[in-house]
Amino acid sequence: MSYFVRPGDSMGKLSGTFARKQWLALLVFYTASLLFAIAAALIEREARDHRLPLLAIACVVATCGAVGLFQFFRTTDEFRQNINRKAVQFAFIGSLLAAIAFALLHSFVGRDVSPYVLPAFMVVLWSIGLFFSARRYE
Amino acid sequence: MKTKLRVWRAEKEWSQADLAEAVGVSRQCINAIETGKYDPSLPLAYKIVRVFGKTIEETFLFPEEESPASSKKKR
Repeated sequence: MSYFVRPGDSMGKLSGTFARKQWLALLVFYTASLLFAIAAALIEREARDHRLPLLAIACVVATCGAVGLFQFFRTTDEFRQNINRKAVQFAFIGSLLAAIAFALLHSFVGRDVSPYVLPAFMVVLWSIGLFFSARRYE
Repeated sequence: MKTKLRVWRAEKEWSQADLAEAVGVSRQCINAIETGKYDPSLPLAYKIVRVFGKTIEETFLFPEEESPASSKKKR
């Protein structure tokens, strides 16, 4: 996929730098997301004694993820920003619909969905959006 | 939008990566512009044409049927 160019590709020096920084930023973001998901799952299950340290870990990990995402946005050129904008639009609309669905589930069925599901859903939708937006330009 | 980037590049014997490096974008960006899948911003368009010593009008060919002025004339 053209969006995710591997650092070793035989491109120009600058394009290689772009790709390397992007891969690193994405790696930080996805690792942080995974760790946050684990921490959030543990917070929901663990007894109160362990919640505070887990919450602290989750906050640190979430901050790292946010920094990674911010770096990812910064290292893109206008073409990739355009792809990313479409992915964000897709994720926003999807998350909005999901939030409404969760609210309706709560109101009519009385079934509560964990509040951590929505950010995870956003990340998944954003990733899907990036994949399909990038494919459009191939 | 059609462009003459490929022609200008061929004249200089530059690869897409060379041009990408010269204007500070990714090679994929140059490829998307050349294939007409992406329209560059005005600042990027200026950067590109300055590299080749050409004008925007010479390099980027805006199709007449898409221009708002021409669609008004048709009405």
